[in-house]
Amino acid sequence: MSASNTEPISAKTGRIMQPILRKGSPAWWLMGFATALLMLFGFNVAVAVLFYYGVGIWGIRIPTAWGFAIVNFVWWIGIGHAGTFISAVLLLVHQEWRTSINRFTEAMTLFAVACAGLFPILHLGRPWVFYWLLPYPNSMEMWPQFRSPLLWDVFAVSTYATVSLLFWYLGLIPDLAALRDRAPHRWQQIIFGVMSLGWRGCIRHWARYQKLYLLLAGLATALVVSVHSIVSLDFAVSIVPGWHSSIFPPYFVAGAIFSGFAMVVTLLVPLRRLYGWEEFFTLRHFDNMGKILLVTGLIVGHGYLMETFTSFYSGDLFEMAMMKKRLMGEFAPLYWTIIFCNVTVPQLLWFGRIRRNLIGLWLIAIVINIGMWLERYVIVTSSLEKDYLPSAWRTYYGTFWDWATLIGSFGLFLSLLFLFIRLLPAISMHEISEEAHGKAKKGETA
Amino acid sequence: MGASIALAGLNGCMRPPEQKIVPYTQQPEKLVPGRPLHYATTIRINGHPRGVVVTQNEGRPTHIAGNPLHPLSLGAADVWTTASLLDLYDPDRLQSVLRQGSASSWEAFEQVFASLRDEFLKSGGAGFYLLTPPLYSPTELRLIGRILAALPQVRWYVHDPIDSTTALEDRFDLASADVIFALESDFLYDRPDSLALIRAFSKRRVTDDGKSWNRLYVAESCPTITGVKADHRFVVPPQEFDELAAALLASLQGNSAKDNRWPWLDALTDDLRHHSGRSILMAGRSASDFVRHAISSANTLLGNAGTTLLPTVPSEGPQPQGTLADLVLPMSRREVRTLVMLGVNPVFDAASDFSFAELLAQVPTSICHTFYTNETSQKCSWTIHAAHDLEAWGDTKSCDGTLSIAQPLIAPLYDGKSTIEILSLIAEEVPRPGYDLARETWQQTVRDPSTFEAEWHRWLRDGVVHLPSTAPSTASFALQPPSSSPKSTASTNSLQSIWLCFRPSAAQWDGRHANNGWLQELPDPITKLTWDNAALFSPASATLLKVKDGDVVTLHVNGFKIDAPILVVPGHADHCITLPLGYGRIVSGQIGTSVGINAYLLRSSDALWHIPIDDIERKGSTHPLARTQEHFRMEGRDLLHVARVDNSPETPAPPAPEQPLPSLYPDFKYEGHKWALSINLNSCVGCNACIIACQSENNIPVVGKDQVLFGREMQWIRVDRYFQGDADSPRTHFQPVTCMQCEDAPCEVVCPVAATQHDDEGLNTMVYNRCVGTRYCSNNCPYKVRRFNFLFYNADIPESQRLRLNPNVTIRSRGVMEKCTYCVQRIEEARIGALREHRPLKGTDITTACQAACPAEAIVFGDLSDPDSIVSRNRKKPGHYAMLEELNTKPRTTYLEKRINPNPALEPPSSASNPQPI
Repeated sequence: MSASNTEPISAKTGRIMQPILRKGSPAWWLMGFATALLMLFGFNVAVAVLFYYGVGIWGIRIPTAWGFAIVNFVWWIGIGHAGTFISAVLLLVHQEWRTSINRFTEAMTLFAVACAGLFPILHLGRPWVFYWLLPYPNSMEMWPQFRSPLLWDVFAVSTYATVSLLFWYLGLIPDLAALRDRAPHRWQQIIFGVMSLGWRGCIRHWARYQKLYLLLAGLATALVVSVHSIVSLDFAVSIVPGWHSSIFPPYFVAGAIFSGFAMVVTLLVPLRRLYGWEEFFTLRHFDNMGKILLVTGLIVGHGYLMETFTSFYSGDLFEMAMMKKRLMGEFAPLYWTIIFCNVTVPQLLWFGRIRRNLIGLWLIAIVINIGMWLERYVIVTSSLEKDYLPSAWRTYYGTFWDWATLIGSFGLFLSLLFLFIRLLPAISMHEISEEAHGKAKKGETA
Repeated sequence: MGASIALAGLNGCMRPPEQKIVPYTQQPEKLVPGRPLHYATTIRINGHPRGVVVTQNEGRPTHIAGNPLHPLSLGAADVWTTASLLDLYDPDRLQSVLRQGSASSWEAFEQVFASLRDEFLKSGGAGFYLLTPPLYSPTELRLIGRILAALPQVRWYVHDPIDSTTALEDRFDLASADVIFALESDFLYDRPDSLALIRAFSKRRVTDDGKSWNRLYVAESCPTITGVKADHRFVVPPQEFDELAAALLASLQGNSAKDNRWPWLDALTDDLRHHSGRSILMAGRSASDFVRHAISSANTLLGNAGTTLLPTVPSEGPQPQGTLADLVLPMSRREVRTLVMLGVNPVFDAASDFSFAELLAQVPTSICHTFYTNETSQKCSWTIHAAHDLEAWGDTKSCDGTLSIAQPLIAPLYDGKSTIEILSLIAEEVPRPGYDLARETWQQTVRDPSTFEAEWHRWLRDGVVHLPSTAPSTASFALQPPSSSPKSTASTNSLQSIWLCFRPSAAQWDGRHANNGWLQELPDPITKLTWDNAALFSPASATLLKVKDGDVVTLHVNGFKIDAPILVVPGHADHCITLPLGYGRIVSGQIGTSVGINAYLLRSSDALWHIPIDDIERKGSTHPLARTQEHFRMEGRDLLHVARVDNSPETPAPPAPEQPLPSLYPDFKYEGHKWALSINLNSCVGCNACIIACQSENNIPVVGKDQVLFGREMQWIRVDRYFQGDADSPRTHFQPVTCMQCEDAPCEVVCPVAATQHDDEGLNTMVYNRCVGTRYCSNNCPYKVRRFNFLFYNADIPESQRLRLNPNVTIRSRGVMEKCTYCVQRIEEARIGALREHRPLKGTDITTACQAACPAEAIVFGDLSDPDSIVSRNRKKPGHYAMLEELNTKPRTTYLEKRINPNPALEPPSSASNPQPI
């Protein structure tokens, strides 16, 4: 840090701009992007087959009419929580350390929400009429059915996606203008020029920019809480034992931030190494993120405990049967894996040495990612598999196409991410400068 | 994503195929497009007639229901009757005459046959053999008589792999039977008169006060629906049947010998003796001569002849020379020069020791008349395609003597020939059409020829022939005099070996229904297995052999062996394995080929029903078994109420909620009708008739084994089956489940596009066009009655099968949810009828398909706003309950509890205070 204080700010931003404006791409990028594209191709095949034959290519059945698609949706949307949380909530509570990671995590949020948003449409029996879920004037004179949580989902997710996109793009504008000014080629200047919407960096621009940025941050903060609350209502509003629970909204929000931060760590650790951005993604960042993982992990653990407690406290035959099935029935191996991944392993984060050991932290984050996917899998399928009528009970399992779609969605996510780090500044340059200026000023006054 | 949506759009815009529509130049009489016609006729199911009423839309038969005027149908229809419609339009049915397997023509056959016939005329028919199923049709028998008159050397044999004994001669009057004992007899399912027996049986079990109830005892090795219905079901392995029958007879004669294998025998004998003349004992078709003899002796002893045991119907006309066993000898001696086989498939279903296929290969000219290509027709020089019963004239005689005429509903789709037309070809110089042949028979029965036309039309209209009573002058009973010392054939140490038992399968019977998708996908009543048969094991035997469901074992019997997957059936006897017949067809259509295992390979002519197994070995492989229900216990849930006739509960009944539970939503207000369905679990015998009737009425697709394995069967009504008590001898219960049409339906609130709606008569309607397929409704349905088109199951309905479809019911496309509608199309049809006649619509105007088919009258549809309707009255009965009432969904489909009438001497009422956990 001390070294960076002495060098000119422009040198720092130069290092952020360098990967964008340079000619050619590094080998690791080309290989990574090619792999991502290959996975994306797999995704497209899976989706094409899905659209041709119907959702019957998946493992869903009666009674488990929701499966991988909904699990993936909830998981991706959960990941999409970290970005907004870092950008908006941490901005509002003046956590300056967020500055160098917020741009990247916002992008991650957007791409995760894009993946998440696909799944509810893919999972429809007739995806070509998905727009019937939108309230729009039509010749059928039909409104959607406003009592359905799925409709609330549509509003919640689309609002979240819109606000996240605006927030992300707004933050990009000054940096795009900077790129426009530094770009060596005419075509780059034109593209960045158009994208920067005529930003000149004058003081009036900055004043309006900051007001709007703060406003959007406030709005996004509310959405961080609302989106996963509403997603959880998909389950909580139903009468399915194991879903019908009032603990779901806070429990889902905590789980979302938990998994979102895990994904941020999973991505930032390799990025830091590949770009040599140790000065931006400092150990302090990872230490703080480790703490957040620990806190949200504890909340999630508390959620598990309370869910189990209320099941038995309710005295309800169906709820108890469901919980018994998870604790010691056929879902026990999965359930206890979840406890291990999401409750036991994160306890290591109590130790600062582990939080600052990037390999260790990275491994813990991956374990949490897997654990959170499994958690959603157990919630969705175990409850449906065995609800009220034993005559309808059946075991669920995913098919080849279920896995292909899940793995393929990583292809979409990673392709977007690779494009992003190659074409746009992955770190907010103007905020870095701002922070440095602020520090410099503080140094002067002191 | 954009590309994905564009792709979806392409898929979504499907236009109907362009077709030319040609109007009638001459409007056929009585044919109003859109208004179905109904005709009474008779079709033959498994060789025996069923009186039916066929719905015909614009000339196409679209639904088969029972004929209320036929005494053996009484308006109900069993699974095979209704499913027979599917065969009519089956694209796989034989469509032309085949010569050595390649297409030929009827004319070519006629020419060849005429010269053949001329040859035989010279020799009086020596070397000409005829093999048919047992024939009951007056015209068929008349033509056989003519053949035998014209060609006296012709030999006629009959073959039926199932009804090869004379067991069907017994006839019972269950209406006057107070105590029934059935030994290995599934009389509620597998007899030609089962529909009438179910009706008579359940009529004696409906009163609320327990008066005039009958009591059923069943001793059997493998659970059947009759055993499930029994008040006392005793698990007895087939090795012990002879001894049991002897002990029972001895006990009835007063020589009670205590045998700890049957501690219940004395109580049973007391009950039977107490109801002398009002009791009945019966043995199934697999019973040995000894058992049959003992049972009839017991009936004689008890004085049941003439009261509950009815006189046999004398057989008329020519008698066959014998059965397949008798035909084998002349075939092996190469005396058979021409063999004509009508509607039989001995290459598949003959006992394996006959080696019938090899014998058939030695016959110079073999002619097979069959509806489908089969194992036999493939080996014949000529194959004649048969007409469906709905395409041909004919007549039949039921096992109770009821005569009826079969009239065609549609011209033969592929110019198939009926049995009588083939017989006419053999019997007569100039073969005549079926219409003339049938009429000729009946003209002879009328004294005054001038009244014939009127009578004929009346018979056709009613579907039953009314002739002056021709009761046999001397009542004869299928009885033997009581014998004091019958000889048992069973060895005393019989339990040392494991026996293999054969039985006709519940859906495929002897294998003739193999290409019928509805029947292949029909779950077995007990095992809920579809698309397969399996070796049925008792839980103890499975534990002993260390096998579990789906494990393949090799069964060695008499030097033959087959590999069979096993299935554990609670309540199955130890020391025996049951293997249903009728599966494993090698030559059938696209649907029926290679489904299940062929049990006939192990059957030998001297042991048609039970045979000791030499060895069983585990193969180590497994075979997936597609079952529609995988969990058999109620897990302590309040789903099915069982009580004794004296109203003491058999299952723990939770206290009913005192006041209506609170609801977030206001109650719906109804101005007109409030439709409801009442299902009487007490009457239901679990025969599955409702499932197939619903499938036919509502255009429900067949999805195939791989989809059933995924739990995607589409049947709108299902019959749940639960076991209660210990697995060796559980009490079994059936529960038909339709859509509950909940008042506060959980499915309605969660649909984001309002595709499932509450209508103003309380139906929970499904708007297919609006459905986007989120499947949330199914998740939120506690009864899991919703069915989803996971794939485009209706995509490839063959052209001919489209004629079958009910024009009033939408064909569902892929990606939409569907479920029981209470046959809303029938409600609307009745409403239109009432409007036209300017009268109010009543609940009794409407009969749902399941209700119409139900032989036990367990399902009743009606209007709750009419306080006198049966559904309203049922709701006030003591045993009335709604499933999962505590969820406050307020179902419109409700149940009347199941009642049992156990013998207090065997199950003292005190045990009822400790109801068994379920």
